[in-house]
This record gives sequence, structure tokens and C-alpha cells, in this order.
Amino acid sequence: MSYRSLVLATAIACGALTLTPLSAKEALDIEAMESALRSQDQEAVLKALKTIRKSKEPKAAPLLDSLLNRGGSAPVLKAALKAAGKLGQRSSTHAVGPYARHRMPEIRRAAVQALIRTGGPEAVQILQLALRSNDGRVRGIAATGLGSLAAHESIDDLMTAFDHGVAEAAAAIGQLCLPEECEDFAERVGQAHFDVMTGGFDQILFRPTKEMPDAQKLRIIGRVRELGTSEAAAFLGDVLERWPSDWSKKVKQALQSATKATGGS
Amino acid sequence: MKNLARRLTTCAALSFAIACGGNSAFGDKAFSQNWQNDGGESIAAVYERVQHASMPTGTAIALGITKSELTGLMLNGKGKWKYTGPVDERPVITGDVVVTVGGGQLTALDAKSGQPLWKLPAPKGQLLGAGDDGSLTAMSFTMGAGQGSQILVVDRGGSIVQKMDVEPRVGTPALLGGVLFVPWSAQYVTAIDVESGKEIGRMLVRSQVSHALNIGGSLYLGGRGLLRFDQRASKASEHLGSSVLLPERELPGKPMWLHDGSMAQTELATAKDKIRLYARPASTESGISIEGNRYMATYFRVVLGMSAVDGAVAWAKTTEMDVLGGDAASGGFVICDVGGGVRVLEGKRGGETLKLNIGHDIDACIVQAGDLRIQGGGDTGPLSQQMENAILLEASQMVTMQRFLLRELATREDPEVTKTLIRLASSPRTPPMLRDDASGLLAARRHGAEHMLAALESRYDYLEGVTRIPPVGALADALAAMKEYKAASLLAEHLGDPATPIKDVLRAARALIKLGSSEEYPALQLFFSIHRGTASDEDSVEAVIAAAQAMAKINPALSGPVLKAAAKDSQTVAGVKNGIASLTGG
Repeated sequence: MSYRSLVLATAIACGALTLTPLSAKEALDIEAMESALRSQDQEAVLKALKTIRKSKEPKAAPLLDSLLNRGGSAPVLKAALKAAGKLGQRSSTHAVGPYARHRMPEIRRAAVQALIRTGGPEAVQILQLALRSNDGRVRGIAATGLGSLAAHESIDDLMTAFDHGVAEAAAAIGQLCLPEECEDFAERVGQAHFDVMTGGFDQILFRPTKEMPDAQKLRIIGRVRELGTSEAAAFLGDVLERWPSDWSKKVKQALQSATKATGGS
Repeated sequence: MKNLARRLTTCAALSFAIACGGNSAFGDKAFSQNWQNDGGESIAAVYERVQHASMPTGTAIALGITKSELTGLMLNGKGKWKYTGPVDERPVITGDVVVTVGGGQLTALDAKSGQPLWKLPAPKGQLLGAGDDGSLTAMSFTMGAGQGSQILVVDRGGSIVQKMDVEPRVGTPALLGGVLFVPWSAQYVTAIDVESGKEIGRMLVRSQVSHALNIGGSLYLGGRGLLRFDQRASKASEHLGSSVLLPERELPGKPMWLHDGSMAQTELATAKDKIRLYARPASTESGISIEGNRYMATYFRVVLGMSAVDGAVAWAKTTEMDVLGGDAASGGFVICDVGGGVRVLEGKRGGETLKLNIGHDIDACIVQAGDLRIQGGGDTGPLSQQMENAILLEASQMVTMQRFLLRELATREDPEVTKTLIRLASSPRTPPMLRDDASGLLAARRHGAEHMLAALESRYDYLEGVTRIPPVGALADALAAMKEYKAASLLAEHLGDPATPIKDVLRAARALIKLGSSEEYPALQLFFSIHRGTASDEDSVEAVIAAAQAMAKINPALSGPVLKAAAKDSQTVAGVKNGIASLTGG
């Protein structure tokens, strides 16, 4: 640690200097941050973490990793995990990962949230494990994360999670499924609550045609139309409203027809 | 005798209460408190007189009792009978006769057919017991508090051949060879010549005697145990009689083999009837023993077959309804439940050989096994499984018995028992108190390590539907005590599983102080680091300290800097700092 950093850290610790969030253009003083994160004053550490988070400076990620490896108080760990997520460096996944199984629920939830941003194969593995957790909120966040990380290898687990009541798995399935898998998901209409299913249908319908052929989208619309309920009508009407003007006309017509048939406007 | 009988019959016809008041002609002499122990002389003479006399072996019958009817169910499965009429007192079965009191009448029924044999006006007191020799029926009654007892002997025609109002409270009488045997004052059995009404012998039995019983055609005197009336009866006062006791065992509800025969039983069954012991004496070359070396204990819905040698549980059976009564037979037992269900059980393994039904719910039940001989009985499965079934029986009043069974189960060294204890300690179906007991017994267990290791491999897995968490703490204690080093890696994995309760994590960390190696070091350090600043309760703090202790033991060089840094860090919680001070030289 340089003399400058030491002075800076001491000043922060003693409250003589207040760390303020940097504007986007200001460079983050890594050495000062490192000193601050090693301070015995928790407030100083929390301020440094806020600064790092606001800076979004990737170079600060190793500082966070180091802190997480050392451990700390609950407020510090939560702030560190939040900052690591904000920085979103894949290298942080290794340091963040163990916190997904921390004993404090809010810390493990913060860790799972952060992993979605740090990403990488290791994050996917941890999220897959988190999907099996005894913490319902962790399962929900993990399901969302697997969708966000495009972890198609998790599709079977997500289907199971959905069948076991993890509602967030619907949207993830909608993001990841291949046409036949989407059809498999759609077959759950009538068994699962429709409003939960719509999270998945919405994702499927708004995926680009190169990923999800119109034929599959039409099948989904057909299934929803068959329901004939007011909820189905409301959903179809909502999708129709949001349907991009330059997207498939065929799908749009199907949406219009289905909306009308189910009593929507 | 004929004249006497005629006179008494007439007397009975007029009224019991008024015409025959006062003691019988022999009452003053019999049951004298001034009797001097004659060293068995008089009772030896009585034995000489009756030794070749016989009693009926007794109808094998289950008697279902409600307030308005009796149902006799033949235990050979060949029919049943019904007697309708008020039932005000607990009936008695003796030999081939059922004696019942109701609506002011004392009635004797043929046990095989239910047909009335005779009816007499009921005495004022309550029926205590009865004995029958095939032609005469003797009955004892209370006379109210502190007012002694009444004894009646009635022949098949309903004639009273003997009636005695006596000072002491007597128990259940028996008849053999024209001699009436009457236990009294918990230590005497007086023999009375039925015809003359004179006391012709007396024996001193120092075992709370209150029953003279016909069991399978032989006369027994019962109290704490049974004493056979044979050539050694004269030596009973010197404890040299042919007697048998059940092994002394603390059983839930303190069940008794024979109730106090000098106390009238309630007409409806109570908890005492549901918590009972049943055993049948058997002759041996040297005296008597317990038939098949088995006795049976009932406790509401649990029935146990017990070893008559050491009192160990030999089999356990559960029933759908409370057991109200039963009896021990040659080769097994009979039980009778609230729903009228009657089951015949083979004695050795408790296998059911016959299931019958009285046909309706009942308020009380009496069974006389009589000459029933039980054979066969299907496979009842391993004892540990039978006990587990009883332990998991869902009924609140069963907890005392279930805890007893759990302790009993744990005394067995069979590794399968370890498996059962693990299941009980982790099953959501197990009542919390029993789960704690099972965990405690598991922690103290030193057998079945393979099952313990297998259990530790199980993890909470929402997707696989595995929501049952193994009793990690108990397993950790047991495996550490057994120095089972194979457990270390599995225990280390549980440190990092938030689904494992913190109390169990603490015990796992402590076990790792003994069992851990360099392979577990990374898991220990990770657990320590990420929790040293967040441990918010005593168990968490202790778990973090235990992890630190394990780290220091496994690798002092590697752990030293980590622990020192943690000890200095203001973010490490105070409890952890204090706990690791000795490890860091602080």
C-alpha cells in the first residue's frame, strides 16, 4: 500500500474525508478503495463499497473478491455482493458463489442476484444448485437467473421447478425453450395457473422468429384461444397491443382473431 | 344338604335382602382373624380331598359388553349368541358359565349358548368374582364400604346351596370337589366345605392373593403372580409352592396381570382395562412356568409380546382401536377391541391366526381362552419394523408407550435398528418428542455406521422432492465417537448446506475436530470466513469457533494467519473473537 493510499484510508476511517460517489468520468482510486475496504471502520468500508458500485469500474472487482474471500459483517457482505453484481465481472463468480449457500437468507439471495450479473459456467452451476434450495426466494431468483444466463442445459430442471411451483421458472422456460420444449411447457395449460403460464408464453411469443418459428407461436396462441376465458382474452389482447408493427403479420392476425374469439376487444 | 338348599331357595325367592340377613351358621367360624398358621396341615388335607376332582376347562369365548346386551363370540369361530338385558356390573366368565347383574337380577348364562341357567334377585353389593365347577357356581359380592362380603353358591337349578355374609373383603372364589376356595385379606385362602359351610383349611399366601381361578381346568391362586393349588400348596407360606411371577419390568401405564379381586370392577372398561398384562401358567417338571415363555402387555392400541424370561419385547402389534380385554391361551393370546374386533394371536411372533368380530362397538370385553389351543400365525416381519410401526402410530395417548418402544428398540445392536432410528429422527411423521428421543438414542449409538454414512449423503433437494433432512447432529456425535473417519467429507459438506439446521452444523463442526483431515480443511475455512462476521446466535458462534478449532488442528500453519486476521478484524463478531483467542495466542 502506498503512503498516499494509507493516508487516504486513515482519513476515511477517521471521518476526516468523506467518500462521495464518483461521476462516470472520474477514475476510481483503486489503492484508496483497497485501503478503505480493509478499514476497521465498517462505515468507511460501506462507503467504499458504495463508491465502487456506483463507479462500475471493472478494475475494482478483485477488491470485492478479496473482501468476499475474507468475509465480513452482514451489511458489508450484502453491499459487497451488490457491488460485485453491479460490476458484473465473471472473475467475481468464484468469490460470490459460496455466499449462495450462506446461512443468512438475505445474504444468499444477494449472492444469487449477483451471480446472474457475474455469469459464466460456474454461475450457471451454482444457480442450478440454488434451484434445489430450501429457500423459496432463492429458487425463484435462480430460475430467473438461469433464463437470463441463457442456460439452456437447465431446461429440464426448470420444467421440474415449474411443476413444483416455482413460478419464476415459467419466464425462464419461455426464454430458453426449443419449439418442442415450448410445446411441452404449453401442455401444462389447464394444470398450472394461467397467470403463471403467461410469464412463459409472453417470452415465447416475443422471441425473434429466427429463435422461435411463427408456427410455434401460432400453436401457443391456439392453445390460449382454446381456453376461452376472460384471462386468456386479456392476455391475448395485451400481446396484440405490444406486438411490433414490423413483426409477423400472420401471428398478428392470429392474435387478433383469438382475441376476438375469446371476447376481447 | 337338600333341606338346606330348599330352605335357602325359598329364602331367595322371598328376598335376599330381608329373609337371610346376618351371617350364615358357619360365618362366625370361617375367616376367623384368630387363626394360627398350622404350617400347611389343614390345606394339605384339603388337597388330599380334592386332588382328583375336576373343573371344566372352560368355554373359549369373548364376551362383548354394552349397557344393554352381552354378545358371546365363540373363539373357535363357530357362532355367537346375544343376551339382551340391562348390564349394571362387569359380568364374569367362569368355566362354562357367564354371570351377569342387571335390572336387579343376578343371572347365570350358559357360556356356549347364552341361554339363562337361572335368575335370582341381585344382592345389594357388587359382583366381585365367580367360580364354577360344572354344577355349582360360587360368587362373591361386596357389602359396601367396611361391611365385609357376601358369598353365594348356587346350583344349576338356581337354588342357593350356600350363602355367607363374612367380615373380610374377599376376592374371586373358586369351586373344586365340593370345596369353596376364597381368597381374603390379600394373604389367606380359606377352604370351605360347601355342604357344611365350615372352614376346613386355610393357607397363607404372601403375594397379595385375591383370586382363586380355574385356568384350563386347574385351580390357581392369583395375586402378584400365580400359585398352583397342588401338593406343594401346603408349603406356600414358606414360598415353596408351585408359583410363577412375571419378570419385573417398568412398562408404560404400570399394567397389572391380575386386578385386585377384592375390588369390584366398573361395568364399562377404563384405561386399566386397556393397560393390562396377560399370561397363562404352564406345568413343568419342577413346578409351573409361563406358557410359551411369553406374556402379553396391552396399551391402548399397542400389544406387546414379552419374554417371560427377561421381559424383553419379542413382538409388537398395533391395532386400529383400543384393546379392551384379552386372555392368554395355550400357544398364544386373544385380544378384543372397542370396535368388537377379536384377534387370536400366536404367542411366539404375534402372528394373527384368526380374526373375528362381535359385530358392533362394545363398552367392555372379557375373554376366557379356556381350552383354546392356538397354532400357526403368519410372518410378522422384523421386530424393528414392528416397533417402528407402533412408534409411528398416530394417537396422542400413545406417546408414553412409543417412547418406551424407542428405548427398547435402541437396546438392540442390529444395524437395521440404526436405520430405523435415522428414519424416526428425520421423519416429519414422527411426533417432535419422539424425534428428539430418536436423535438422542442415535447419537449414543455405536452400531450401524454404514447406515449413518448413507444417511449423511442425503441432502435437501427441492426438485427431487427430498425435503427430509437427516439428523446430522446425532450422526456426527455417533460417528465421531466411533472414530469413523469416512464421515469427515460428508460432515464437511453439511457445513455448507443452509438446509442443515445450525445446531446440527455445530455438532458436525465439532465432529470434524476429531475426524477432519486436510481434505476437509478448505470447507472448514470457507465456512469460517463467510460466517465469522455474521454469526448472530449462540449456535452459529459456536459452530464458527468449532470450525476454527478444526482448522487449527488440521493445519496450524495455514490456519494461523486466517484466524489471526479474523481475531483482529472489527467485523468478526465478539463471540467468535473470544472463542478463537486461545487459538491465536490472544
